[in-house]
Amino acid sequence: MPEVMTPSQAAWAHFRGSIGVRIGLAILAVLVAGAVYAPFLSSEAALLWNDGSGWTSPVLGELFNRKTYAKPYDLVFNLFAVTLPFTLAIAWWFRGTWSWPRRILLIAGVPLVAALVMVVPIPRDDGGWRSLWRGYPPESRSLSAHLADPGTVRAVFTPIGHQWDQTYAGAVLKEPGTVNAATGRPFLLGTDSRGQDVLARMLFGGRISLTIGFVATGIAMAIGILIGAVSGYFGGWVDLLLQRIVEIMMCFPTFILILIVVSALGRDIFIIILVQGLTGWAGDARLVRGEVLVQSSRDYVLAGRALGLGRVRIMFRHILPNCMTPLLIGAVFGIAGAVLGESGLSFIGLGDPNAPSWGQLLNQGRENIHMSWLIWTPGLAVFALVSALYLVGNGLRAAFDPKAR
Amino acid sequence: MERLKVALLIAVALLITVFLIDRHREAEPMRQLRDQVAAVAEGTGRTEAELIRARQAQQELAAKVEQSSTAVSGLVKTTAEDAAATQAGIGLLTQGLARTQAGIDQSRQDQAALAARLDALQTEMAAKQREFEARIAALRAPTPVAATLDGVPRLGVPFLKPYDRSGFDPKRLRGVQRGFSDTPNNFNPILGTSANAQDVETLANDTLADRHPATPDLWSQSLATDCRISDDWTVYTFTIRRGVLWHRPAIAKRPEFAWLDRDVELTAHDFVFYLDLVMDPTVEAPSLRAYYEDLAKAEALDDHTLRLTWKRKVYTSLAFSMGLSPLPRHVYGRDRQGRELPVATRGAEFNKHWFDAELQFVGVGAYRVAEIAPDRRLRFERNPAYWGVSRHFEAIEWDAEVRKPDAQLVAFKNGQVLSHGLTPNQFKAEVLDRKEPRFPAADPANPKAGRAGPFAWEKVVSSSYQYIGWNMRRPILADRRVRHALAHAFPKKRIIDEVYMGLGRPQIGPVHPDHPSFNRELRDFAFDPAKAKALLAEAGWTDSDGDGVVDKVIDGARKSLSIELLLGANSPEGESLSLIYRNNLKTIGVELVPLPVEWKDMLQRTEDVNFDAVMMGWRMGLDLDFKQLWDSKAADEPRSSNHCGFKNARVDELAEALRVTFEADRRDAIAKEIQALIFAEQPYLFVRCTEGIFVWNRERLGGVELGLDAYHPMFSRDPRAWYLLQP
Repeated sequence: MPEVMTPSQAAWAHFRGSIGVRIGLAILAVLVAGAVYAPFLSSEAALLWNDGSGWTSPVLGELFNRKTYAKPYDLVFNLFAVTLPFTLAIAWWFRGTWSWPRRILLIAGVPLVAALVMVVPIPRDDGGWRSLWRGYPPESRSLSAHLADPGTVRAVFTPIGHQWDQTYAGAVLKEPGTVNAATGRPFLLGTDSRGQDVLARMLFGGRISLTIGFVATGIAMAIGILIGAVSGYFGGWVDLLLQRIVEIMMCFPTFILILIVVSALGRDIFIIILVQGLTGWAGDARLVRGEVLVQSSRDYVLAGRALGLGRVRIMFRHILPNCMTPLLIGAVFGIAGAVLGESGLSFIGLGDPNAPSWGQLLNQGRENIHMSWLIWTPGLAVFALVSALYLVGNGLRAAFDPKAR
Repeated sequence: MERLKVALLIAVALLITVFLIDRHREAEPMRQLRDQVAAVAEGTGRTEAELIRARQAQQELAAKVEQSSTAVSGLVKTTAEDAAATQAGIGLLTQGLARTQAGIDQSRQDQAALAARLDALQTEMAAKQREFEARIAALRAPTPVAATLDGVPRLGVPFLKPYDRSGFDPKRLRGVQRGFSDTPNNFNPILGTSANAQDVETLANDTLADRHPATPDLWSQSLATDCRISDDWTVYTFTIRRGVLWHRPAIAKRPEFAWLDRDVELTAHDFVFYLDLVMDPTVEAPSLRAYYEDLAKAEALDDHTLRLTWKRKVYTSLAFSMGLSPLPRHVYGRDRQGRELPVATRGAEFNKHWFDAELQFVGVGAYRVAEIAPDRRLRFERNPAYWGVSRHFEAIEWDAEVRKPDAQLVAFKNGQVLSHGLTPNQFKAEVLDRKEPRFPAADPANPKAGRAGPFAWEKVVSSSYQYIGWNMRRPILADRRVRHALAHAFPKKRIIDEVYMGLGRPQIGPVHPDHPSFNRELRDFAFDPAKAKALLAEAGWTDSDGDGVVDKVIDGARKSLSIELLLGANSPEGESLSLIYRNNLKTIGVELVPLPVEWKDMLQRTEDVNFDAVMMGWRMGLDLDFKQLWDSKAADEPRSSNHCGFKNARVDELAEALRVTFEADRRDAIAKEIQALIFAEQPYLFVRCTEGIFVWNRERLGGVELGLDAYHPMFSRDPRAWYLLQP
């Protein structure tokens, strides 16, 4: 560690040293890992399968079966699951020789290439063009098929062994530990009122919560930064006008607005994300405006102007990076808020019925008030995610606050 | 038929028991009377004995007089001196004789008085005897009376069963029944379309004739005391009950509506007024108008005689005639100031009538609507001026604010409401899993096991069924084999057991399984995915592009068999059903996309026939009529109930024939053939005949069992059956 630290190095050291942040990051890591590798933890398709014609991995094929994982965020998470080992390998290869192009290549390049491979149509043997991410017939090399007819097959299955959207016969509202007759595996966290495995749904529900949190906050931040920066930098009538718009947005009860939009446009998870993003930027915009107003009067801005730099360059290249700290902290709390918002929406029965969100499980718990596992499992998960985000956000705030150090 | 026979046997057994009890009861006063008569007879005997004694005394005296006379003559002969003394003796004797004579007279008078009393008693006894005989005769009489007034409609003679509400105990008229129900969207009896508008009518208004909940196929008197049908079932003449008064609306208290503050008697004109408005094309009631499209004219021959003339002999016109309810002409025929509205503009005015804007409702029924708070509360109070025997509650309240089933259950447990219906999941948790000890445990051997605890529960049959309707205009669903395949892939038993927790019976056609015309020969599609797959292949559907969904070239374009299923939002059972069905269809290469939508959107999309499949339900009536749902003409009309586009010439022909057939066995045969034809076409995937769990607070609401046992299943929740055990 160098003798003299830059402010950001000092903040980072403080951030890493905090117990709360460590706990928060650990919880987040577990939740993210569970969400990313959910298909490998809980799927009916075999991890490895050998029926005499060599070893295959049905679960890998299923990852890009549009009939099994229909939602685009599932594709993103599945791609992430596949590319993460490669990313880590490349990172190890680059060790000690970090440069910005390499970082960008690693963080953006690998998933982008993978996504292109999945989505871009490629010619097929039987004619026509099809992308890899498309529908296939249901997987027959599955746990229940194996149980029904073991034959001479050697296979390795996922630890949980249940498909998140499969409605198992004779398994409605079973207590944790009940064994599923169709697969021979226990429902570790019980089943819901449709005979679906709660644990499998919890893992895949993590994907929804994370998507909602990051995407909705991302949209809100993008709009908020743009409007806040313009408003703060230009001032005058532009500021006056934009701030009135911000006030109008702040006056809107967001949750009620989401309710109206969802009942009008349909209960799709992306509509919910979009509405949350499009309504949640007012606070960010105010924050950015205040910071920009403070920074605009600094000497380095004057110097930049004297050097003849363009407004956009000064705004986004010089002022904005200096405003990022409070924004970053706000974003972490924003993610927690978005997760809670979606849970609330699902809880009152207005979530996406085809998405296994935690709030939807909570709603089932409300309908079946005596089936306690339907309440505490998703409830604890929401609590853990939100608490972890708060711990991290709090750590960030403390790290960048000179007075707290 | 088996059920009907058992019901008949039970009815006969009940009648005999009632008869025996009554005879026993009548024997008691008879015995007392006989004792009285015996006492009187004894008295008479005693008087007669006295009379005989008096006669003996008279005879003795007469004998003594003779002896005395003989002695006198002897004495006259012997001693003249003794003559004077003897004379004095004779005088004395004469006096005695006179006294005896007076005694005899007195006895005669007594005898006459006693005889008169005996006569009076005998007359009284005879009168009482006659009276009792008449009463016994009256009690035995139902057989001869029923032969004419039995409620079975026939031509040319009065047939309405006499008004009878003897099962209601006026001493138990108390308490408030609270339940959950939405308030109707419109309180106008013609314009209101929601289902609970009908419930308001039932409580607060009456019809011409009544179907008793125990015997719904018989008609009894209500607002009409008499009905004659003539001219081959086309002319119905009713005599309207006299002295029936309209409710006085709450706003009549306000000075500007003082003109409403008076008693108005119901007349035949109120019925004519109702039909005039229904038939008025400017009134926004097209669906109601369709019911009366065969009506030629309605006329009031005088204030208490109503005549309905139908254009032709149609079976349903019977129920439509009998079920006619009056509309207050003195309210809806007038403007806000109480002036008569002109006939020409009456219909247009009626659509936005001031009386509806004031949120008022008047009827002639047992309850009057006391308070209307839309979407919050509705309160009915007993009508003090009701013409008939009132029902058992002082008041009935509907709570429209508690809407979520779990909150409703809590309110029931708190005693806030006294009766309620459980959802399948609540039934499982509260009763089957015994989470609420106040509900008795279920017993598979005893369907009435739920009646034992402080909270009682019972499975009740409903008259509705659920279905998934396929839009047969869509090319992918036009092939009958595809619909058969879809039926073979539907795990009906599993869905009833696991989604509806056993509440329901598999439905296979548009007729209730308990209906006498139900076709028992139809065998439901077995759950058989392999057969479903084979049927799809036979119809040309194969997975040619390997994407897991079967496809076929239709009209030059390759189409995947992907079906969007509309279902009501906020129905956990509907969502569960669709997910289970979706997973089963996936295995046969059919894609099902469940789409929960709000009720209004669902109605809109079915009216516009903009859907692939829709999950809905219908209520089944007692009088079968297949025209509304299955008529080929209706398939092409906008906003018709035949949203699936079912077309079948033979069904049209049979449905028309059924409309003009009145004989029960002929109707059965026609209905069965129609069921078979619809079953073969599978325009609907019939899901279940609905059953529900009805719960009531047994500590505060009694007598429900009587209604559940005695009434026809379709009417078993009729509030007329209940009374309170405790205040």
